[in-house]
Amino acid sequence: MKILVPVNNPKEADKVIQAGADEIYCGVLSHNWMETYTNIASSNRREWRAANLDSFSELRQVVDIAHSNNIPVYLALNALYTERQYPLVFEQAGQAKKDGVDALIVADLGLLLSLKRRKIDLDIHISTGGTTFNSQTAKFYEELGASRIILPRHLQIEEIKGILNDCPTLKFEVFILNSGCKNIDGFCTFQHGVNEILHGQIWNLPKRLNFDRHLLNGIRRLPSNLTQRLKANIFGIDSACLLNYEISLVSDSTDLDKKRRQAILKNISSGFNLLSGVDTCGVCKLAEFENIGVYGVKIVGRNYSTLKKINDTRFLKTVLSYLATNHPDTKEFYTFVRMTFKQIYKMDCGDLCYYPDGI
Amino acid sequence: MEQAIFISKIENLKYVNSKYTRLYFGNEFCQRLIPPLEDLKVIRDFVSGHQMSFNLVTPYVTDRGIDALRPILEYVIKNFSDAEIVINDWGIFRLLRREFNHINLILGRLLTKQKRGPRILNLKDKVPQDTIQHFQESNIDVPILSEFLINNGIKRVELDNLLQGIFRKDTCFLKASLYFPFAYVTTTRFCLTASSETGRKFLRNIPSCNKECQKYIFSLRHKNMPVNLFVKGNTQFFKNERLPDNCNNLNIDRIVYEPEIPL
Repeated sequence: MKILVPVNNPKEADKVIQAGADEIYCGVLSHNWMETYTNIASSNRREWRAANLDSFSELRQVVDIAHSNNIPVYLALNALYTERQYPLVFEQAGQAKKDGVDALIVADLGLLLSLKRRKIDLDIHISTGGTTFNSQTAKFYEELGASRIILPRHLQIEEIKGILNDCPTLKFEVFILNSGCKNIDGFCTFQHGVNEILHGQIWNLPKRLNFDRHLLNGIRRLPSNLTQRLKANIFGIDSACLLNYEISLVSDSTDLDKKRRQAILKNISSGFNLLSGVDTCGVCKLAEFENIGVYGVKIVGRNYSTLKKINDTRFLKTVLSYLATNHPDTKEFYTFVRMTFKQIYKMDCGDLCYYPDGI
Repeated sequence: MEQAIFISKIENLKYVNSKYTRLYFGNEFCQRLIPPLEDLKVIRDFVSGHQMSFNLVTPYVTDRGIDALRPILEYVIKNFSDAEIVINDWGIFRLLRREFNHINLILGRLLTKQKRGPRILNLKDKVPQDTIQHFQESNIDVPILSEFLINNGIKRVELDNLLQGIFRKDTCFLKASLYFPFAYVTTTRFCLTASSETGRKFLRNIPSCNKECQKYIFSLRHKNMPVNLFVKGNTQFFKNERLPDNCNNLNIDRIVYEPEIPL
């Protein structure tokens, strides 16, 4: 099973490869794109500048480093584009091809059709934004030329297994670490990167330093009764899915008493506390993913620090090696995964699971 | 302008009156709410008695959801003449084209890819006009995609009434419906409402469901969000009661009225 690792600058490509990356993916938020559309309408679904390479010359450097290690590089062009953007999108796809990229990650059906018509000689991977929730959708994309599908975060393992069984000629990726968005990526229309526009470069620096991720991961070390009460705006994190909403019940057909009403509001509120933004982990399910034939596991977090990417890659590599060598039973495997998590990240995993079924 | 009404449960037939010539029934967001055949029989009698046209609205689905939807699709195609089927899943599109050879398809809100997030209103004076216009458009008006849709039996697209306004070129050739007054913003399978009575251990699981979505609607308010959001079931919506002035220029020839959030 392949480990897919993101990069946001050429310097980290070699480091993640040395840590065990099998494949690399990235996005470019170029100057000419930014001038017209800003980061808020990013060309690749990651609206923070810190999540992206700044130019195609940087992409070329990443490709050169990766290819010298026989590692493929995939470029995310997985936004949803309007007609006015197409000249720039085609320019970027063409430049990516020249730079030696091995595949494009695509979500927009119009772009997929255009690439097919233009006979661009690159593999096409369907982004999680393609919302492949069933075998029919996977076949739909395969018929349009896709060779790989990145599955949504919201599928259960049994459901993934069914899709893989029905589509033996496609390769599939699943998410394994970080950014466990509670909303469905391809159906979510909230904007990210708003602060970067409102506060400009001032905001870009803490993002590049991973200030928000450090804060979020620090939450893991707090008592759970406290984490339930922490709200995003305390730390200036303003993703719409984490805002400190005032929540009220506007329709109730059951005439709840006050105590019950408060309990329900508290339960709804728990979906918006900061804990719901803390990085999630699906490594306990690696054995199952390998058994059902998942081709690759993806580390999310293009904007994360190089150190975090190295640690994530090491974590996966260590666990996959253990799995291949020791053939552990489920209990032994879970124990090893949790122990390795603690060794690498210096904290307990905290049961923040990507795929909690059966845990 | 054609007037349609969208309901997700048969009790809401009470909202239908002679103003409406088309009934939308079903839901876009949850396969657990795919209506039973018995409800479709009631709907069939109703639209037949009121001489209304009919649209079945289908959600995005897993393979299990496809199994649940299949008999509904068979029933509708057999029993409703000229029924339109609103698709929100490319797998359902493929199924309908290949197995049912059905060509009366409508591209649903989940696939028309408008940029609905209300916070674009906070940025109106801070980004170039090209960016704002991008947020008013949809990918369905890219010619190659419009042609693909039409060539594959999709003759209409469903749009939400965006807070930042809608822009379509004069040359756009796909007819559109406009949903009013509720627009969806985001959706999940990790349904918060389903666990609202019991709480949950894991944030990322698909909770068991007693259709709590049929009991409660929640409102979310925050100073950074220009409008209130509504949580019904697994989906968040906003309400926009101001219709565009230029529906004809936008090739919008149908209003789909939602008397309640259709879920």
